[in-house]
Amino acid sequence: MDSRKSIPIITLIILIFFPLIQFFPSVFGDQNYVLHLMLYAFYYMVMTSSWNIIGGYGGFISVGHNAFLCIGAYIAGYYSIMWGVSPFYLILLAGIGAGIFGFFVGLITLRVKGPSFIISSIALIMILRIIFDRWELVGGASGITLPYNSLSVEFSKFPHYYGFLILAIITIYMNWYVRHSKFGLALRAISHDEIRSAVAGINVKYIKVTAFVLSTFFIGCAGAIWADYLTYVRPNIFLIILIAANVVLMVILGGMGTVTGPIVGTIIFIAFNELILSYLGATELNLLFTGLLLVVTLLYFPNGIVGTLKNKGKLPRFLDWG
Amino acid sequence: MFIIQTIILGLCLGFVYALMATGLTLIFGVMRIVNLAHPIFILVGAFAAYYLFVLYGIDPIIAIPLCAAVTALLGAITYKLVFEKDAGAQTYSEMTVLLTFGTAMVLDGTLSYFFKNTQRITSPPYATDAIFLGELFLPTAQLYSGLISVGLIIALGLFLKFSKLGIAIRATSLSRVNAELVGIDVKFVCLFSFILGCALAGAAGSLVSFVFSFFPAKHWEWIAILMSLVVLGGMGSILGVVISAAILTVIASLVGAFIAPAWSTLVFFVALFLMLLIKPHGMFGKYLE
Amino acid sequence: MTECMLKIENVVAGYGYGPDIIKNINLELNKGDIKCIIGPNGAGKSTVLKAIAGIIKPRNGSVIFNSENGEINLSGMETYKIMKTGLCFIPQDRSLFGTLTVAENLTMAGYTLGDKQELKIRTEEVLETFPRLKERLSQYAGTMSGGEQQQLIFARAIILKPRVILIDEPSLGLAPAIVEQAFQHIENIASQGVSILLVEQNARRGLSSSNYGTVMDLGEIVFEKEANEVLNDDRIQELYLGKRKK
Repeated sequence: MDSRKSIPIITLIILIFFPLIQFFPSVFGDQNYVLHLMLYAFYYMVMTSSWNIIGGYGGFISVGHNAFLCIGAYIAGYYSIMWGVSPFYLILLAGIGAGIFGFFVGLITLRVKGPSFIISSIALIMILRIIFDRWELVGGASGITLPYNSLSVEFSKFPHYYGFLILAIITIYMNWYVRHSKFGLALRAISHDEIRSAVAGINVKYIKVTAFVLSTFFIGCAGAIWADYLTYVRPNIFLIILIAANVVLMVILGGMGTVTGPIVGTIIFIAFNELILSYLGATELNLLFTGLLLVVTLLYFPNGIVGTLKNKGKLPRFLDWG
Repeated sequence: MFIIQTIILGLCLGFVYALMATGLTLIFGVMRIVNLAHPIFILVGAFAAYYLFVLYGIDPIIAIPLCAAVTALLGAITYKLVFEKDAGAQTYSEMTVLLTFGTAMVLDGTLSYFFKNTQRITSPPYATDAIFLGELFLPTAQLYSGLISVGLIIALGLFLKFSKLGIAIRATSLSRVNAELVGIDVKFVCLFSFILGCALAGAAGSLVSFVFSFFPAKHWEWIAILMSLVVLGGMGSILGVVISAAILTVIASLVGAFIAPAWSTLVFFVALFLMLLIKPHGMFGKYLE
Repeated sequence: MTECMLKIENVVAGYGYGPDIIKNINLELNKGDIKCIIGPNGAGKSTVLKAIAGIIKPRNGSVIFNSENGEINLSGMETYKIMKTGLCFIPQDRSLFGTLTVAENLTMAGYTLGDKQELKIRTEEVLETFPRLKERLSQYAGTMSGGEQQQLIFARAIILKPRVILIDEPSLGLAPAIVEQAFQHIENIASQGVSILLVEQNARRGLSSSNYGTVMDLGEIVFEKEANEVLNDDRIQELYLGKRKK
């Protein structure tokens, strides 16, 4: 079996069994923080891979994609309280809700490209922020508080870990599928030249909107799990630009429009972030470093790590999924 | 009466927004760069004005040239570091916008680190004063800032229309290729326009410092508002920005006065989405070569 | 005694980091000459003009221009500086300020003239030569017909009284009658002492208005001759139609 298959499979097996070390605290100690980091990584992988579908392949750069994270979180949170079930049962509902919202937003904003689109994505976050801050039904600025799950501390992260892992795998697969399908080909054609694509017989609107809805659906699902993980859903947590900026940065860092780019970018950024955190603590400088990294990457590695390696022909096989 | 008052004050505020957006539209017109970092430059100007006042007692209106100089310098440095590479590009690109986005984050992080996210506002005596005109109660902060904004915009307009450099700037924003063929040093025009845009941001920041309470993260809100104004007014058109700013801000003020203050900023974003719905290509369309 | 206006020596050029498009270009343009560069597609004809005008910088060689202030090596200079030395370039896409009026376009053409009076005088002169433009002074350039735009382009070109004009494919996209007009104007301008180097796809028409023809292929100059003898040369057939099958 070549490395392209073997390395991911081995990694997957390790990831699936890794949390089980929590059953042996005497041997491994309490690795809750590592679990946190890993599920945080999977969570961002879902977001970066989803973003990549419309941003990387479609060329529509959204700096406000976490608007849909928020919608998913609120749906899951609200109905979780209403119906008394764990948000985990509402993942699909959250995703569908976010997808429907994404459908209508996409119909409007996908009509324009470039700067207008970017601005509309920022405006979306602002609009939602204003609305959610004042919407009494969902708690206004204080948001919704969810109960902790009933598992004991060492194992409390398990559902989120596996939830995000599964979601990440699905999203990455979706990314791969889009990349290698006719749908993906049409999408990439559209990102180059919409008029020529239309002339070639591609139903531009359908493809654009579908790609957008796909990306928002998965982010919505992630929102549900993240809401349960945080146990609260608040506008000032979910609707900050920093999250969107991180997602964009990770994808660019890894390589826009590739399958493994978002994954690589996520891992590297989170590792980099951890490094900064351990030296400087969580300060406002986070924003500074993210910005700096974005600027440097754009100036010198616009194709990201995977992209640059690919162009030079030096991409390792196990990262070359397209 | 109250309506008239709201409209007048809305107009004044609109002119301030217009001044804030002028630099943005200028930079886009000449270089096709959507400078998402523009609002943070405005904030730099605001912080400069604040500290000039608090530490040295300099009135923010007097401080306008100083703040403009600070942001102009910052703009020059940013241009050299970040944008000069791209200045050769003739068409807009997403990457450049993301570059400005990154720059905005860097500056936001720096400001937040040094000044923390506490709300500040400069308080010269007229900030809390007001003029009574018959039954109209007109706070001088808004009034003065509105009038000065108009003055600055008119000065800019005159410069662009009559000075040699101003003509060169307008020619370059019309057609870079043609400008070069006519003997205009396009690279210099780009550099100058960028610095001018940043200087305008600083000037606006000085005014803004006593009109709004500000903190580093406020620039995200301003990005959305200013970009809405620029898109609606037509990218690269200063007159367009002024008109759309005047109209929208008046509407927003009316909404704020009669419905709820919190919803007033919503007007700008809703207008943006409406514009996208109705006439998406008209705005940027003709500038994408 | 013919004065050499433009001397191109061993020029090599290409686009970006790509390969050399033109190599070893040696060309001379004398006062009053109309020289036409012809050749098959991809020969690099436009590239020569662009290298002279500074749109791309020559990678090698020199471009000596005989300006009012003596000889200048244009190689490596920025386009806008070159345009101020007395050389004018009319590119393929016909640049005009489409959203400005005819009058404004003419004013812009004289941008580098410091003296407003001088500009006024020259504009008057130019409008005498192109009376149609006089009627359309306040019309937006972009709304005029192809022929009128062509006139405006030439008018702009001669306002600064250049010594040399480079024209890239004057007949491109024009109706045959307008093409006639265009070449008429070219001949008129040349008769006033301006030296012209043009690139033309329509070899026959281009050569008939020129006194010299330069034939290019694959980035190099194949040969140069008096214009009326170029088409009779055997090599032309091979160039355009491929080698003769015996």
